[in-house]
Amino acid sequence: MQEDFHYYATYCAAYIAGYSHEDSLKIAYSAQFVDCCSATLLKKVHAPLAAATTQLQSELMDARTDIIGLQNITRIWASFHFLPYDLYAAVKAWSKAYRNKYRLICKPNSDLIVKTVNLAKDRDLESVGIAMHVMADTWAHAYFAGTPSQVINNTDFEFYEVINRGSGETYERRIGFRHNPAVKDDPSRSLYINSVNNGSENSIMNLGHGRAGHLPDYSFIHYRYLPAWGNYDVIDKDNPSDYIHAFCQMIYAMKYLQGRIDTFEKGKYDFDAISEWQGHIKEILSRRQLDSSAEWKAFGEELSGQEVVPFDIHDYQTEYGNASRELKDDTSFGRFIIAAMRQKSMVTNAVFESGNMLTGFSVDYTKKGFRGMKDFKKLVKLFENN
Amino acid sequence: MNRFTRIWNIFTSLLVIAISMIMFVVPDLGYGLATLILGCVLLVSGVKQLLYYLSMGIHMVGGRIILYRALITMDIGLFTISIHGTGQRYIMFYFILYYAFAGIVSVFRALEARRVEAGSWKTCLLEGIYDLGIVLICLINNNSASIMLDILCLSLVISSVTRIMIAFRKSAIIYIP
Repeated sequence: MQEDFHYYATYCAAYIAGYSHEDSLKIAYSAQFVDCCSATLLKKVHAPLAAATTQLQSELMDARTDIIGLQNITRIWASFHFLPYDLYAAVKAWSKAYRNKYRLICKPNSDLIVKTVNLAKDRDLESVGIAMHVMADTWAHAYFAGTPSQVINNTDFEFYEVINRGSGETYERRIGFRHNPAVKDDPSRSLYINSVNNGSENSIMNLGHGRAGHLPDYSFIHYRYLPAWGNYDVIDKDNPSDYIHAFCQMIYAMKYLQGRIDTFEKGKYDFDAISEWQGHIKEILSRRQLDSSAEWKAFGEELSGQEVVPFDIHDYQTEYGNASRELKDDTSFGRFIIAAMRQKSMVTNAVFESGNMLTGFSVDYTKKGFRGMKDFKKLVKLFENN
Repeated sequence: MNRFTRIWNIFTSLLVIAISMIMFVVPDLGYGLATLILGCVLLVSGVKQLLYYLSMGIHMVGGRIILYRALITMDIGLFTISIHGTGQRYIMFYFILYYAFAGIVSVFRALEARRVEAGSWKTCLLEGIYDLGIVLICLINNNSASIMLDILCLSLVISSVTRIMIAFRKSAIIYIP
């Protein structure tokens, strides 16, 4: 997903769920910032690098693919963008290496998304925003894994777009892929950019949905393809339908986080909350365009009657930079960093507990004390203060 | 990283540094050794790809391509071993490609880091200049076995030192229930 959904649509969902205009903006900002908080940016503001929630293209190009590098990549992408669906999935394969990668495949409605939402319960708005980013991405990035893997994330050349003629009748058009990052995707000719086919299992070209280009990130597209892991079964990915489910699940989750609902359960969506605008939302999601920010912004402003200011990556950085060491964690940026480390720690521990080493070691502080990255002392300090 | 991996990484890195030193001090022995190492690396890489196919690629849609690649790599490895001592141009060509790519990536990283005003752009730019400088040296001394050997030794030492540094880094994540 992109800024249109992570920022503007999240604002709309938060507002519909009952948050005020100001709180909805903070949640939306945090949700979108997950796509910006790279190690490069954290270095710039002298913040702990373990809080990185994404990696810039240049960081990825230069990333080491030794065991440490791969674990770092997997921690970031599996925790925030490709939340694993079933860490104990039954796989007909003798190789543990294959089973471990297969079990990181992302899908919506996992046990981990319940844990993610509960992790944000009774916490700050930054935690809510991060949880909403993770939830939305489980829909967009379904069927890909947040670890470099040719055998899981590669795609076949059999890739078709299902296009609606307008009267409900559909036809299929073959999708063409190019590798030139300087050109733009062209939906009018079904020409899209994807990563280069790379035969190395751990190449970053095989990370996430790189081989399917930005198709999972576009709300309008409906496509069919053969995933590398699927034993030649075709995947039918209907993004407009998935995105509206994501939107309604976010509303449901945020009502729970505000205490308006007692429990959060998988597979529940608050379609009633959008009944008044369902047609309009579907129309925004289905419009064949690469960025729907303007439409979502207008919808958000119609809902709240207030201006939805555009996302600016520089907001909050100065506040964090100028704060004294003791007060940094109380700034918006500081709270985001702690929430991000908490989410990363939770997912890493779940993967580690399942016997899968792809996200690295996880040390349970309550049992073994502090034996890990010094960046995580922040979490320990908070734990001890509480 | 578990303890065994740490120790293994340190051990192999020290071994590579020792081999680099021998190659540097005894160039006559060094060049033959370098091509032999390259051939062996290709052969081992082919065997690894074969194992990769049997363990993972066999489950992948269109995975048979991995099997074909493994067989071809093993074949090239055996060929390189059989001609060792005569193919220095190929190794030089490999260096030029590797360092040119690494240099361009570092420059792009520097530009991206500068765009977000991160201080790390200077280090990235220096890395890029260093890599592209080696490309330039390779191009100027296109057929010099001794220069090629010096660059090979330097690269091996740098990557080994980096591996040792990484082996000492703490990498566990702290979980608080």
